[in-house]
Amino acid sequence: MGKYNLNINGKQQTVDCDADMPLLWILREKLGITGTKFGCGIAMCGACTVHLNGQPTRSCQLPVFQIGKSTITTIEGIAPSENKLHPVQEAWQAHQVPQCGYCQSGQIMTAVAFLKNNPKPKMEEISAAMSGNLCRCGTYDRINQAVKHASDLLTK
Amino acid sequence: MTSRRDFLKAASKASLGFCLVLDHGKILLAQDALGNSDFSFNPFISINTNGQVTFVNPNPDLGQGSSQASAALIAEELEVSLDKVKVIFSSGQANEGAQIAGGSGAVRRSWEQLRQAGAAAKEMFLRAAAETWEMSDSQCKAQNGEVINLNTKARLSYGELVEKARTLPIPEKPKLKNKEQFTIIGKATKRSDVLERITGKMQYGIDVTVPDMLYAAVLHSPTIIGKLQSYDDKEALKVNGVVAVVPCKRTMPYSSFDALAVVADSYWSALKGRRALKGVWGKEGDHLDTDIYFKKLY
Ligand code: FES
Ligand code: FES
Repeated sequence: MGKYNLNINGKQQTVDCDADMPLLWILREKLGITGTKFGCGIAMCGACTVHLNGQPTRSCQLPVFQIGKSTITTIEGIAPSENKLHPVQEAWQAHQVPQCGYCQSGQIMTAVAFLKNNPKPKMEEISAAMSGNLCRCGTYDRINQAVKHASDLLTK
Repeated sequence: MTSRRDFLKAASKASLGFCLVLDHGKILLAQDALGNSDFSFNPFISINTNGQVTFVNPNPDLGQGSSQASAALIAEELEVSLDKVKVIFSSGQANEGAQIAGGSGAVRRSWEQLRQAGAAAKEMFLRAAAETWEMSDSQCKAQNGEVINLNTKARLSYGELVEKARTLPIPEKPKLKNKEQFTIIGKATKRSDVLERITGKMQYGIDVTVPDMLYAAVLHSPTIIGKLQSYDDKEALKVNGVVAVVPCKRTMPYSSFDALAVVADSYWSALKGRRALKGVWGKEGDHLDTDIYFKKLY
């Protein structure tokens, strides 16, 4: 067991845990930040995607000792304020993307990071960028449409 | 989301307004049903004095949209807009009916019942307004949560009519709309639960905790019907938070298979314990082996 200082959604948090505890479980079980989901635990599905210094990262595979001073952003931390959504979330709402929604925190985190690197993507680029995030409900088409819409909202 | 308990508390107060309940499959008014000694309280649709409609959805919603579809059936016949219907979930108790999601059955099972409940309530509001205005029901029209007096154009909201409506008999055979009259059913409408599902706020099974809860991660045979021959839990039990390793069964229709559960005080510890657990499995069904399958994936 050791103490770790983490910067999560702009807030400094201290946790006491094993060095190999993955960020996913620190968020969910130590801090009660449960918007990030557990799907496979083996980096195959993307349900656990968060941002580490702005880069999409599979938190189920990120042991706490590797985090250091990196800043962490989760689905709870992307909206500009309590009652305003991130443009990607707005697009998700407009396209009514989620079915069960279990994969969508991960989908949205991947999309937010992707659009930062590629603000005006083509449809093929969107599909390719989102292809690592699995959706058991098969909402892929709406996801792609929403990413396109979000790109318009962000570059308008 | 309001819990059923909060709802029952609110419903038992005088502010109850108008509450239709299901008692052994029959639609009753709450205050009539409360007199029944063997009454199984299933609040079904309630309308308070502000005109807020609350509906207890008997159909679990796993993302298939049953809460929206069920609410649409009520809203359509009750003549309120879809966003006026607040949906909460049944607690899953037996007296609230079977809890089944599957077979695309939610709408088929509720199609008649929910529309009838909505239509019955609407007719009671019409009657209440007609009595207030001392005219016949046919000179009144229900629309958007209000009853309109077709002669004078006066309006009374459902909220205002609640007190009177609840004293009226429930119509035996409320008249349902025909397809051409539908304004909600069959039309594209927005789901009310999308916001929770895109902000990480939706609560899933994995997010539920109870006091002193333990978590189990189950180790299965790598082949579909492999029998457990022996196991070594020494390393698993050393993992921080692991409480016990318990042989158990994976029950399937008509059969059950050997498995091992690692029980721990957190899900992470249970998963880590499972990784440290060694099971020795028989070769039954070894034409399909998940260990081999996963090795091929990487
Ligand atoms: S839970 Fe991390 S990728 Fe599936
Ligand atoms: S919406 Fe259900 S898994 Fe993607």
